[in-house]
Amino acid sequence: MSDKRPFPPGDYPLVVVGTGPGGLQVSYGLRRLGIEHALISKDAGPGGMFRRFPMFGRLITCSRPRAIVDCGCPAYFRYDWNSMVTDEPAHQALVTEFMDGDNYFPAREEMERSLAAFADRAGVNARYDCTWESTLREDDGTFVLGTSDGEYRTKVLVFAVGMIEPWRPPTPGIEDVPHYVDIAEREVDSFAGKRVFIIGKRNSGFEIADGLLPHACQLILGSPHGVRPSIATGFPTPPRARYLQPLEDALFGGGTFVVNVALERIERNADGYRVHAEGTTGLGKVVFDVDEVIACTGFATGLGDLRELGVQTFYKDRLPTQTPYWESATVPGIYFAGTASQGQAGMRKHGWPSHSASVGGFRFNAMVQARHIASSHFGIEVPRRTLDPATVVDYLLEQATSDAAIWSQQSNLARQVTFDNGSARDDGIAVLLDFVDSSGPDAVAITVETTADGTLQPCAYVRRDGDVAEHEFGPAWMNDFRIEENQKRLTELLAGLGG
Amino acid sequence: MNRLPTADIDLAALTLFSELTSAELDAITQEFEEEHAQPGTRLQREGFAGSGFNVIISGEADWLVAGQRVDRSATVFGLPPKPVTLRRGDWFGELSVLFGEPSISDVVALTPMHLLVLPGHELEGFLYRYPKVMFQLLKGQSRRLRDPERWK
Repeated sequence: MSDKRPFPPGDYPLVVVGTGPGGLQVSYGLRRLGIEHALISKDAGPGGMFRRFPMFGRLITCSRPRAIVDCGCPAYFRYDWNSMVTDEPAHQALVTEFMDGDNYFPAREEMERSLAAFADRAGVNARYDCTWESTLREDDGTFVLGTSDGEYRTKVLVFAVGMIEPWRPPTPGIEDVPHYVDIAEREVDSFAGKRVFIIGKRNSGFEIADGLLPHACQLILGSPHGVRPSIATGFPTPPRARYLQPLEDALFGGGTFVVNVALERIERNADGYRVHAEGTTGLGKVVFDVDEVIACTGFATGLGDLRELGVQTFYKDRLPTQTPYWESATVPGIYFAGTASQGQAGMRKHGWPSHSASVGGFRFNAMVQARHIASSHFGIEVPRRTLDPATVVDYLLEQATSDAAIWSQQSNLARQVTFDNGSARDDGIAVLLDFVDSSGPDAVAITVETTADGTLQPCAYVRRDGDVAEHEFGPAWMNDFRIEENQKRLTELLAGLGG
Repeated sequence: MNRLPTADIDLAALTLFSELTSAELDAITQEFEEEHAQPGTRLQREGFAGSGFNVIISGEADWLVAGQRVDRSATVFGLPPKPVTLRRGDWFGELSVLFGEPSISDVVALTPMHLLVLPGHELEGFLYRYPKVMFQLLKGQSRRLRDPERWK
């Protein structure tokens, strides 16, 4: 029987590896720009990590079925953190279509089904069951991708392979402890009545603890540093409110303990495990006797042999170092999409990290990245819309109020407008890191930022005669920044731009 | 292998953290974010608010005011500007954080760099939690004031 799968091995202008939301989104963006490419995946179908995770069934990112704006309009993506970004109504806001309405956090299966529907309806075809196995680079810069189906040759590679390889710190004995990813197939009833020590107090640790509350008789979450949940930091990356029931249980003495300890070693014995630790905020040394230990110690990017090719990593070898457009900092032509794009940390204004660890943030990265690749590797420029200069101020404030990319990637992505000889041009969503550190024509980039005290406010970066200056605006009721005070100030800031 | 040596960060070897116990060092690695930078990357931007406190693990950076390489202590004493390079164990960003003001300087990577970054608004609490670090920071600041040449 002939193989009817698309993209057989051969020469392609570009190859994307991975069909999770990162791979699907960047492939969609590239195809919309007319960039021919192959999309391959080791999986049997679309969905990536959502084919297996999260373990206890529901995502931590919401998709609000009913929002203050129409479902499907661009501003709606601000209220739907999980759907792929498209400009075609038939493909928009697909996650809510598959949700049963009981919860505004989609179930894993609902997310997986929505991604499959997106791939199908948007025509994002892929060659499934095709496993990337090796990577070489020839003298002329051509990459040769060895796969289970044969060789792919290309000048540009995009890896959207997820961040689901288990990572463990070098604690003696931890190698015998199952990792979060190792217990995916385990029946939750097998934890019934057990004392469970969970190493790690980030989202994966709290997810496991929350899921085991009705099963385990005692839960201990331990790591060196105290918990700083999202509702305290204002950042989207720390433990989310949805998983914090174990923390409340610990505060009320209900059988859960959340402890600040540095682990010294873990010993296996006939009854389970002995966890030797020392308190990092006092109380000295301690030994925990438990039945089970689970390492929720984080994940690493599946980089395969890319390190041998020269791809530099950091964050304990878990992430590739990247340029502002998510290209390897050390091997040009290799890009990263999806969760690995968090290796580009953004501006870190007021400590706000990039939101690239989750779909809600990295889907916008992928669209910007596709545009950058089209321009820098294939000479294809997206047509820019000309704006009436008299409308620019209102347009920018409207964008700051409602644009989903700006809101999802605060202080990392921004709306850019360029001025030249009395005319104005909408350059679309820009990488702020690149805008503030690049020379160029007079322009403005506006974004939204959260200050240390939790104030949400717009910030305009104005480039005049090559120098970029920062201008923070104040907060506004209901985060509607289209107020007279802002209009007046922004008008003054933009006066005379572009000569 | 192009692996930044993050798995083996020897924080105890840095003066700032040299008085901490191993358990405290473990906790500190979770307080800071790791950052990398290529040559030419701006790590701190003059005139921009909301920057963090940075500790250099490896690599070198230029400290610049208005685009000029300047010895930070020279600005205090009114001495002629001299080039200064920040290196392993040095820190920067603390002044704008402590004063709550925009940065007065650029810091630009000269080589590939590896840093630890703490959000600015967390510095005060961090220093109260680790008074030994606060003391080392105070000593470092005092050294810079006493002897502009010595800390370079």
